[in-house]
Amino acid sequence: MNQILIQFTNGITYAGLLFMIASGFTLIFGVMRVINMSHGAFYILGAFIAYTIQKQTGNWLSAIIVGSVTVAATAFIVRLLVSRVKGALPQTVLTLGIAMMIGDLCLYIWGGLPRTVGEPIFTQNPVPFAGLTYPTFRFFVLGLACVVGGGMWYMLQRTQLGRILRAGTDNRSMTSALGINIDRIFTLVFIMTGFITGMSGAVGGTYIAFGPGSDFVILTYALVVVIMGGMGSIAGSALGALIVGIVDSFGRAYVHEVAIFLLMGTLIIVLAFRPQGLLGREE
Amino acid sequence: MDTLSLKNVSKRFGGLYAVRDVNLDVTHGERLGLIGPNGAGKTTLFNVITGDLRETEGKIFLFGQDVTRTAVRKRVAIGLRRTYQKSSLFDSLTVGENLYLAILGPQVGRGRSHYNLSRLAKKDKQRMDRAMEVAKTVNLEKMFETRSGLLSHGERRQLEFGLAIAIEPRLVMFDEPVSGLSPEERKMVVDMLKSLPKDITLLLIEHDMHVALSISERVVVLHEGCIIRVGTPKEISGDPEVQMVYLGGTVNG
Amino acid sequence: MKRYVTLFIIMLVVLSFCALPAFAQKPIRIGVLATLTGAFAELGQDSVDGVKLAFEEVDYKVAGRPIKLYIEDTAATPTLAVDKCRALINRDRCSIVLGPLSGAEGLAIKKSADEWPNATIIVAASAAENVCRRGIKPNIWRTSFSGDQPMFPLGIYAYDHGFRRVITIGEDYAFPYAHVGGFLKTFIDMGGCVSEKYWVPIGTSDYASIITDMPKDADCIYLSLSGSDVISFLTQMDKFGMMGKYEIFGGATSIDAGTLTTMGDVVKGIVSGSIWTGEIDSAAFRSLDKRYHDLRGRPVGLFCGLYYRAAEVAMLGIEGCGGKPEDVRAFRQALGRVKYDGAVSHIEFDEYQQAKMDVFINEVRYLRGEWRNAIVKTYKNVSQFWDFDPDEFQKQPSYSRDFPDKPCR
Repeated sequence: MNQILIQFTNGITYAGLLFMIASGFTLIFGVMRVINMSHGAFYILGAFIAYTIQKQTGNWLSAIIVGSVTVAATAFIVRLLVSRVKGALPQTVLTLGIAMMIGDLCLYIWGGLPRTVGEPIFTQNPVPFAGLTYPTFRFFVLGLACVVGGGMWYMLQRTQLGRILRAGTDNRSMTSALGINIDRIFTLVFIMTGFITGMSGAVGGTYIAFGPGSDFVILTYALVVVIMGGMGSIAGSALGALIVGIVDSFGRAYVHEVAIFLLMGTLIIVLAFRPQGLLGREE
Repeated sequence: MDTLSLKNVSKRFGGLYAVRDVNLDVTHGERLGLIGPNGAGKTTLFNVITGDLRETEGKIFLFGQDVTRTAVRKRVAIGLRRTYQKSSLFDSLTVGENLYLAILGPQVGRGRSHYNLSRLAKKDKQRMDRAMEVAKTVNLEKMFETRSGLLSHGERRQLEFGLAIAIEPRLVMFDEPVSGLSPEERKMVVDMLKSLPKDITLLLIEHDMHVALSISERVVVLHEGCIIRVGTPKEISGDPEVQMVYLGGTVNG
Repeated sequence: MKRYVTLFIIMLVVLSFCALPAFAQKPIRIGVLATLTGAFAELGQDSVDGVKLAFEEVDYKVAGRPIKLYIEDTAATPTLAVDKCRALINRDRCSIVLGPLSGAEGLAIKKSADEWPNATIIVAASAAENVCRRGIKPNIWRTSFSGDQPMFPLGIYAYDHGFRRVITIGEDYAFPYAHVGGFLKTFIDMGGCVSEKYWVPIGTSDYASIITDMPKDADCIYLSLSGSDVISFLTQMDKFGMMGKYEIFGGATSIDAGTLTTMGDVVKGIVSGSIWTGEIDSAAFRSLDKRYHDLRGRPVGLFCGLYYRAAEVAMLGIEGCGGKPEDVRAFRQALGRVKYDGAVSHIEFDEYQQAKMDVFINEVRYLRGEWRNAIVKTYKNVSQFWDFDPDEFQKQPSYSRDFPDKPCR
């Protein structure tokens, strides 16, 4: 029983990180119909910058903040480049190119050794949990994911921006017909996404090693989560992340040889019954 | 000053002219009907006027300004509104939120207000109140909190009407506002159209000749992208050439 | 007239003599296959460094001929490795290819080896079990180790130090199968048993479910993870407060110099088996270590050492055949005679064209201001078959998830 509880906890704490990674990805797709292939690159960039700042200053919090802000700024530049190109497909291809550029730049600056960001002091002592000492940091990540998720929910449901975003996800051309400057909204979405993804990179990089190649691993996870939950749906990302996290956790513990198969199998079953994903809407 | 003025406007797709050398002046407060058979270029002309499509040649003036190269949302900001032939709403938003955005958009576009991205401010309360008024105008006040995706076809048409007139419209263009409606719903929309204040200029594409002729003061007939006739509803309905190209002897019901 | 003909012939002879040194000066073209992008990018860079460090020592001149290097990136993809190898040999006319780096790439190259009878491939790092075993190719030689080769002694070492029940954690592909397999082969032979085996895909990021699932009654963990996987695993072990609960034994790639640089004191005291080490009393090693250190700012690691070794052995082969590796028969005979006393180990080939080499049991220690692998025990001149009979050995199944195995009850 304890084992099941622990694996369940492993699953949802992992899901927390997956959700943070996937939420920005789905947001960009939702309003812009662009599959942001540089999403994974945003993640490792955030992680690398946080790594350097943490190493220089020893202060984890400032590392996370600098990492997130830098990636937000990068995302702003990416957005400017993307806006020069017309059409969702060329834009997607452009983001792939940018992903490779960022990846190579990271390799040039930080080299190819896998890294982790130094851990903050406040989570250094594991807590006793279900007959085990459980890393405080994983609970912290879960908490952070809840805050991010809650913040996003509030933003989407209760603010003006949220209404515009939801409207843009529904019917983009109509927003212009109502006089809304959707381009500016896109820019904002990119910056927000950059911030959240940079933050997930910095936080995730504290307990999951990253290096060259991690960018596309992260992109794959984001895609699986988002496709399962429904492209463009924040709630879908949360649900997708939970399923991926829990399936992955139990799979790895009990049938580890087929863990990936199990995960992809779940995805295929979901898509067989709901091609648009669990909470996605039909196009 | 004409509300809308088109000078030699053409729109070509490849080698095919969808709109050809159209000259048209619409005066303030006028009710103008645009008719023609399928594929005559009516909706293309609408899209060129709104800026959704870029014209191949010609110039467009709105309220005296040259808007030929102006973005859609900026044309909206100076008072242009339209509805779409295919239903266009934000399906996952409530009726109230749909109307709210229709009110917010033009205000922001005119620089009267900025996006308030953090929270819903007092100003938004005013907009929501205004949204409620509009909802009453289009008989949807009971559905205010309903997601628009759940509305019936007729209710959707009412809401689209509401979006178009929600705030300070000067020129409203309706693209087949009664298509696919039941007779009762149709009557309701026609009444709404008729009851629009006189200082709103109205441009109407309508397949239903009875509706088109009953609302319009002047009718323009478009055929293969060209204007072939302009006249009063009476003149048009009696014109043999129009009957030939468009009516084909039977009135489309 | 006749005089002119004679003069003409003399001139020709003289000219051709002048031309001969020019012919001898034709460069020896050597291809390098390494992984310069993706998850193994750092290993590939180390590898290329190793080749360059070796040739710099002789100023890119061997047996009087200049050396020209052609370097290709395989991205750790077997099909790409074959394509790039083909390009090096057919397009760039390389007579020697050093590489490839990863296990599956080595097997793919072996499969296509018959395509290239006039080139010799010196497998510099790929550690797939069957590269020089169960059927060999005349043009495939390996200076690197077979996956199990350095692990036989580690299995014995672990048993000798009182460990009986092992948990193995490895990435799910050929190299870790052989790596885990070699360890288990001797460990089980001695009387140890397997408490649990975990296989994870390359690039696995979250190990929480494995860490919390590991049987409590096991006494040691054998790790065959590389790159970011091993860092994630050890970081998370640390966060779970599990470091020290089990003795950890590492594979050659798991606890290498790169891992030590990143992990620091978390890996203190971990024992691993490798054909490389971080500290050995030899002038050649000290010099290589220093030159690498000047280049990259950390101790020289396994992959740099492996490619360095391959390049040095190739040079001995070239010298042994009079500077003409294009003459494949002579060159391969020369390779067979090579007795190389390298930076850390003596090397010579067995009849399967696989190098025999020293294996080190290393322990992570803080030496000369850095975390380094220090030797606690050396096994000399280890064969790819350990002390098993080669014929009997090759009759056993290839290593897999399930072989060898002996579950603890």
